[in-house]
Amino acid sequence: MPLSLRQPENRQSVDSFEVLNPLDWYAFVVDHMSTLRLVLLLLVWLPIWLFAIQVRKIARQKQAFERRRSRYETYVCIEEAIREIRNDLPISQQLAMSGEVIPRPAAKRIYQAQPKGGPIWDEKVAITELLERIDRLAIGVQVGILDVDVWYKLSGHRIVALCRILRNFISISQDARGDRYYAIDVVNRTFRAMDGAQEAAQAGIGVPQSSQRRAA
Amino acid sequence: MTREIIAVVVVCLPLWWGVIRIRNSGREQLQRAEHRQKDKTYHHLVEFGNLLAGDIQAAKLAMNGKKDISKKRAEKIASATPGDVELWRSRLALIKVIDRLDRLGQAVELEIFDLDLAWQTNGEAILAFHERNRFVVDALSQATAGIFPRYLSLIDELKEASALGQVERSDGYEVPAGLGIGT
Repeated sequence: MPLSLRQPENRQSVDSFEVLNPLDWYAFVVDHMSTLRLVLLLLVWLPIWLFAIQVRKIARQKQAFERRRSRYETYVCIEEAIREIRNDLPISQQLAMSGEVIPRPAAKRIYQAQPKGGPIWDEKVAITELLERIDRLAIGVQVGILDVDVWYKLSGHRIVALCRILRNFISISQDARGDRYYAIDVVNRTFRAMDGAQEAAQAGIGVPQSSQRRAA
Repeated sequence: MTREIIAVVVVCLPLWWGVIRIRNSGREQLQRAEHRQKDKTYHHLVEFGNLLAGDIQAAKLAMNGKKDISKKRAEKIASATPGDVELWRSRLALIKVIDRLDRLGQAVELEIFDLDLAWQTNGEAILAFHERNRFVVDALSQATAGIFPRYLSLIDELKEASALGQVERSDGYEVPAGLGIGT
């Protein structure tokens, strides 16, 4: 009949096994191996152990370096995007500096402008291009190419300000064509992540209710 | 026992040697990569300096080349509206410079740039701009509270770096001389 743990003699051996303290273990090992052999064993294991520690340390340093490099790449990418926004669309600066939300009737007029509409058409083209640029930046954040923290700190508040100023235009565009602006999602996500939902609400950022209904 | 000792030495020596080699090559690789990254960063900072110099020049032109702006005029510039064409242009041009410096400050805060490197590349130009336009900058900072959070901290940090003088670099990276921008 095979031995089982339920048998009293076996249980006793298990109990005595558990009772062994580190000193007993040491005595057990020394009884079975000479001190010299232990030292030799240590000499073999010590380099392996050191090797593992060194590899881990260098791997951590490399990881930190990669993180820094990735942040740098994000920074360069965002700087380029900001430069494009700034150089190609002087309108964005004026909008950001004026700080006033474009009223809904004016936004509607701009949105409905036709190619023969003169300056108002130019304004529509400029705003649409600006939103597309912002959106591309936001998609970069959405898909995890750009670091959210770097994005927020370098351009977040400016983009929030622009989105706020253009919110009526965005809402009209979303309602009319079902366009989806990732920038809005990213701004909301960033705010949520940074516990700034209240701030976002104050800034008036949010997907228009009609779009939320459509999405539902 | 002698045989055991010889066996252990034969095993241990290459192991030790291997550990040291791997550690050294890993370190060298990392140092080379960091050095390359520093070079890249440095060239970016030089480019940044050129853009900044352009912005500063544009701001000077927008302010009709006036070097010292009085407190009164500074307040007017800070509170300008698009209607006051000349003042508004000055405001936009100055905000452009401050905005760029604010982003540099953010990059330093995020440890993308080393403050020391930023100081050695562009520090003097930035401090000179701040000194020359301090009244306008103060008025604008108050008018646009919260928009440029890192600008003033960057100036403070650069002033500290300036007071300390050129810091001896511990990482072995030497900034190439004569490429920084003029003020």
